[in-house]
Amino acid sequence: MSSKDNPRFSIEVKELNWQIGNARILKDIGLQLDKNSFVGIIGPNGSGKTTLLRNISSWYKPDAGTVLIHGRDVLSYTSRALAHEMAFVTQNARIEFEFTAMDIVLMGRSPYISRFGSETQEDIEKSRKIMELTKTWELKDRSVTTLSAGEMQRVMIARALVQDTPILLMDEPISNLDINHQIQIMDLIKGYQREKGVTVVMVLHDLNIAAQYCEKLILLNRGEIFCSGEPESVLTRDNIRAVYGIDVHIMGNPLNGHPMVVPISTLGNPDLSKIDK
Amino acid sequence: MIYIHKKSYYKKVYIALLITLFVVILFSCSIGAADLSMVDAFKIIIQRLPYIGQILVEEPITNTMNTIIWKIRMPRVLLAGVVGAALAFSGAIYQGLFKNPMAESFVLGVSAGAALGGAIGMIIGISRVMGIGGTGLMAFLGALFTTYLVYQLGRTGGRVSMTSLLLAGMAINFMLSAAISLLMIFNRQRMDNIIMWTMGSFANSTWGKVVLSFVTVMAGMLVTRFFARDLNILLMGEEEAKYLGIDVERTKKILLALSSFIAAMAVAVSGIIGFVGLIIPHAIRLVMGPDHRVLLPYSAVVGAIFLIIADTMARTLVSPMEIPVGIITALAGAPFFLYLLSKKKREI
Repeated sequence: MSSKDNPRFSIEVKELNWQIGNARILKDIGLQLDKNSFVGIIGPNGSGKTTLLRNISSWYKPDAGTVLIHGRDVLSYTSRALAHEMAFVTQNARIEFEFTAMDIVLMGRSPYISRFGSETQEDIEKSRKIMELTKTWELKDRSVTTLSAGEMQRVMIARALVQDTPILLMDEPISNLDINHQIQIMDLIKGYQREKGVTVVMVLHDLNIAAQYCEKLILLNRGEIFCSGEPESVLTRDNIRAVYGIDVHIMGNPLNGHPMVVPISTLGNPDLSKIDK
Repeated sequence: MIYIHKKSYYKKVYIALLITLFVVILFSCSIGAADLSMVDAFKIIIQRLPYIGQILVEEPITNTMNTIIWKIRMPRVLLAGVVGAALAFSGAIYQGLFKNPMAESFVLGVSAGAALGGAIGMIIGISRVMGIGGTGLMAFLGALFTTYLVYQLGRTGGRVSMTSLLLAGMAINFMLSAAISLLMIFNRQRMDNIIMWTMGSFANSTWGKVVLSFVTVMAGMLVTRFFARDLNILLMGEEEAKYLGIDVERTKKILLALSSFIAAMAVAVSGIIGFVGLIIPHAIRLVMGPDHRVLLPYSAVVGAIFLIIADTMARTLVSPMEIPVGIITALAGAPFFLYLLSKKKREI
């Protein structure tokens, strides 16, 4: 049905407001995210990144404004219908029960399984393919309670991918991982996004990773969109000073030309002449 | 290995458990105070089996022996089986819903709520008009109300915290048990037995109770079976469950109603029997894993076996006197509860 209407945007947010008590966490957020794009949400701690993601996913209900998913109000979807449109990788998922990794990944197929049915051969085949892609196939019989943080994160990403949705929301999928795993996972998601032409919206802390992988960045500050656009236009010295309150030096990444953010310590004056332009 | 690949293994073990259950029923019927040899008891039961019974046992059976087995022991053993299955099954649902291995109808105070409902039903006369079905209905309302209350009290900031859930359940348990005792003191002539309600007993088992509890508990279990995968997903947490397509609020309400219903049907015919719903699902989870498609049906059968054995001990250990069966299950279950508590201490 959503493809018939063929709305321009994958996700559209209009004048979104959300608050707890009197604290306004999100103020007049407006967003239009294209299909087949890789979008990063950045901003300091407490700027409302996760809250925005949870409003898009309809876990939170906006106090004012709307979120449209493929042109339709997100609140008008049933949970099951919405699970066909978007998958969500939450932060630090922890499971205390001894399901195997494959059990968990198969749960990603559950929006497609009827109440009276169970997993089909096709579901299992799909899960196998995704698990091979995410390098979790060798973990399939391991209890998820025994997995390392990196392994667990890959399992959760595999679960989101087998859901086979045109939208993927991810809340800091690479925090708590070492740089090897960070790059592995970002490459994996980016490759999948390009191949399938899906929309990825990701909350990120690491500005350099954000600059390198995202086509569009949304910089949040105290619940408002400070600015958004291509990484080059968002990650400027002035923007970062205004939002994060620190001085940085911006240089071109020598490998790919993406902006690179180098924070400047407040202890003593750095010798900027050492940096060749 | 995933569920559907292990299905035939699960089936084989399940059939073995059903055979064990059948053997336990046979043995329990043949043990008792009356002087009746086990061989005779077997003969009496086997004779009534359809088709093969008449062929296997030809000799005539005396009337007294027949009465002891079919009117006294058999309904009691079967009722203990149904109640054990119901308590273990509902315990497994509660543990899944609350993501807490210590949740169970007795610990949560739901059994006390059901007992209070049942007792009120007896006093205001619904049970006289509608029979045991009336008691069952009132017990269900009591259980539902208590489940709602404990859930609301145990909820802090959108999630059910273990500490507040257990404390709320404990307080409600005390309060409602006190209310039951009070009601009984003022209505002595209408209550069968104070011990039966607060400690649990199968001394007053009838075929009517067996049929009512079997039909209602079975119906509740069959409906729950279709929510087994939802329960698995709910173990991920409510937010994750929503993203996997579960209508969380609706599913939770249905499952809370089902577990309250199943527990209430057990309490209505046997009073408050604690800890069965705690020990059995936990043991099965340890051996068979957390998948509710396995956990639920296995809990039912092992719960039945466990409570039949417990009740047989209750009526034979110090015969002709009888120990309330709730004492036996508490002696087995309370230390187990403490063990779980010490294991989970860090999280509380």
